[in-house]
Amino acid sequence: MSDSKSLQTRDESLAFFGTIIAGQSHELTNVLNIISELAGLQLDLLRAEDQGSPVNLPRLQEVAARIQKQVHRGETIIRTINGFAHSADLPVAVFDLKEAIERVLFLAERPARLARVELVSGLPPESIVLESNPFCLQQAVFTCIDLALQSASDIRQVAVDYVLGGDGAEIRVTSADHLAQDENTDDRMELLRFLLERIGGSVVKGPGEESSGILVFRVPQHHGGESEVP
Amino acid sequence: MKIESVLLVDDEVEFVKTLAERMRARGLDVEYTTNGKDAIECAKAKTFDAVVLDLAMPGMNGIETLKVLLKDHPDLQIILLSGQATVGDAVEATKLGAVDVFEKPTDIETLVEKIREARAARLALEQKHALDEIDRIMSSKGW
Repeated sequence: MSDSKSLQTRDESLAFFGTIIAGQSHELTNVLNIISELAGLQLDLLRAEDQGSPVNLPRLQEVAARIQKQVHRGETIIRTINGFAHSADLPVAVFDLKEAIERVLFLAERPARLARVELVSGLPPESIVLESNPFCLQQAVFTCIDLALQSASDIRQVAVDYVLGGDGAEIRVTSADHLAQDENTDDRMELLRFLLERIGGSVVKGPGEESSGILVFRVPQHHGGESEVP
Repeated sequence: MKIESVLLVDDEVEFVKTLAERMRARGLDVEYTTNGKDAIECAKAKTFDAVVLDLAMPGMNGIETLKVLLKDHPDLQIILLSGQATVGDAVEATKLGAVDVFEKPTDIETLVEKIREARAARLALEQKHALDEIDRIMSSKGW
């Protein structure tokens, strides 16, 4: 890869990292705002007791359960962000393909919701352990989802799945709507090819081909690590 | 008896539901929706003293919703309540006609007070329009 391409890819990766962190920080803010209102509601109920009303224990318990639910939601967000941030620690790591894609699906839930697109996980039960660059792989999946979200028009549904085989996996992002064919798509596809180059992968099916709502790329099980077959 | 009526618009269902519960406990007449499109329909069906509007929502965002609401109901008192508003958003919303911008989490008493002020402002505008109309009729009759 040329120096300018390498710099461009680095900038894109930083932008991807920023998009994810900003989105999840908003999600976490939402959680804290809900907890704040629920805590306020509990105080309202307790103040009512000060004013002579009997303690409404079932109501207080119900509000406490709603707070716990939000705490759990916040924990999931933090755990996912943490896993995502650490995926950039090493250029090559051993990781589970399904876990990495599930993480991307979780992180893409917010942009999908804002784009009013339903994000569907069609991930199979089986997975493989990859020896590759997890950050690049996640960015590649997100780039495909992002492209599909931007193309969403009528049906507004995007599904992600993969097929194992041939010493690797084929990852598919399927939009119920046709993928747009414009300058933005060309830029996204160029970025996808840069990313795949870094993990030894390749685009199998892109926009403008037979199935215009499907993006498919292939990644090898081993790339850049000690187990890589030359 | 005066009861302030308010429409809350926020895509976080749990947030908007809880805020509605707290406002009802303070004597307000509260309705809520989770998107801009429904908010526009609600405002067509009923006159609200104020609309409390989130900024980041799927589909129509807060600014887009604010524009349509004010186009349909120029006297509507719109308060933005957002967890992610930038200074630029606040300036834009105010320029477009929002009466105030609050950052989440906000003190409920402050927000309720603002809604009470909004009702007073809306009634004052209504009265002004009525007086203007009387003036116009009197002028047209040469009285």
